[in-house]
Amino acid sequence: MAYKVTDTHISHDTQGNETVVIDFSGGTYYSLVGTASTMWVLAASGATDAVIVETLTSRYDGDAAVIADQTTSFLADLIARGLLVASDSTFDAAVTARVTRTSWSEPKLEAFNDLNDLILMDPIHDVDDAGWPHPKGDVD
Amino acid sequence: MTSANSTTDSCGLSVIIPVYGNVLTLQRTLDSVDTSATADHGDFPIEVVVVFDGLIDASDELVAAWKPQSPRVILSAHHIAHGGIGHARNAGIKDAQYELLTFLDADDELTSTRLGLVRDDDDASEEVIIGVQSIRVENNATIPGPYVPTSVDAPRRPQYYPTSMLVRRETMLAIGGFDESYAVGDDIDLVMRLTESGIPVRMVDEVVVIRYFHGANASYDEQVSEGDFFKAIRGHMRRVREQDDGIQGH
Repeated sequence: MAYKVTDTHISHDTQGNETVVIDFSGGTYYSLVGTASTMWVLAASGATDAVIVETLTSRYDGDAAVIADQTTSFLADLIARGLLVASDSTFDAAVTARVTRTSWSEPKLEAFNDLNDLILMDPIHDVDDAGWPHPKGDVD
Repeated sequence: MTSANSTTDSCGLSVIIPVYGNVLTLQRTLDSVDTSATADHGDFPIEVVVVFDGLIDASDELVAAWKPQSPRVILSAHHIAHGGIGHARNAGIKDAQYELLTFLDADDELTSTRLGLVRDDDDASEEVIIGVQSIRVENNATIPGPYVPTSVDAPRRPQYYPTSMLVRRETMLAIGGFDESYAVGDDIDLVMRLTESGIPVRMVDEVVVIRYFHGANASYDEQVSEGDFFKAIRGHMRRVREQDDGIQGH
């Protein structure tokens, strides 16, 4: 299965070895560092499970079975959180060349929920002049 | 921020309006303060602090000619060298004569509801109040990012607008004002820093600003908007982690 970022409500930005992902529908934001960030970049580029596992096992020093298991689990978690979805898009293989060789560490995702009120975004296209909580066409 | 006016009055509101090329919308913005002051039942004075951010155009003459109808409204205008929106807001904070501050963009309208929040304000409280924006679109414009549409089935939520806050000048000075390195995200960053500092931020579900999208808003630069948003988030995470490390280190 190939992946892509859920394009309806997820924004993401990678700098150095950290990816920050913002979920505008739930107000949660995430930090993915190291192997987690690498995995995100690959998945966001349309890589399949097989390509991600192959890339990580070939570029990281560690037990291949452990890397494969942890990779599969982590991708499943990203799907479960609604950050990634299945895709049939094509993969940009050039991304794998940017993965630098280093020691494997278990990918971890850090979730923050302290800014929900600021981050939560509702469709504002249909808010009437009276603003929230008056939907467009609300006669009350 | 530079040193500030030390003789502020506690019983009034200063409305800080940075101006940079807003000649087509500024009249509406100024009039909204005047109209709100007339509609509001309070009697505290309202100072409109216009800060010209280094651009000389017809808005200067417009402000000079503006005569508010409400006797509660007074005008003060300031010219500064161009430094961006955060810089202009900080200059307004420095020059404001009242202790209670609020901010208004030069293409938006203030509502009388915001003035009502001033009446309910406790003079002794350091609480920051942030209200809701109502959106209007003109010139057949679209709504720019980063407002990512969610499911139509999602529960409707208020759209808090950070810059529309009511905040004490003392609080703004203590926190160092707006971060002038942001192009458009200085308000989000400020609210994050207020929260981190333990200053209570109260979100109220009242419309305190009518925000216009007209095709020339700074937020149409999606790359800059998104970059500033992530910069603010990263800065917040860094400070939270430093705080946590500091706590664990003791």
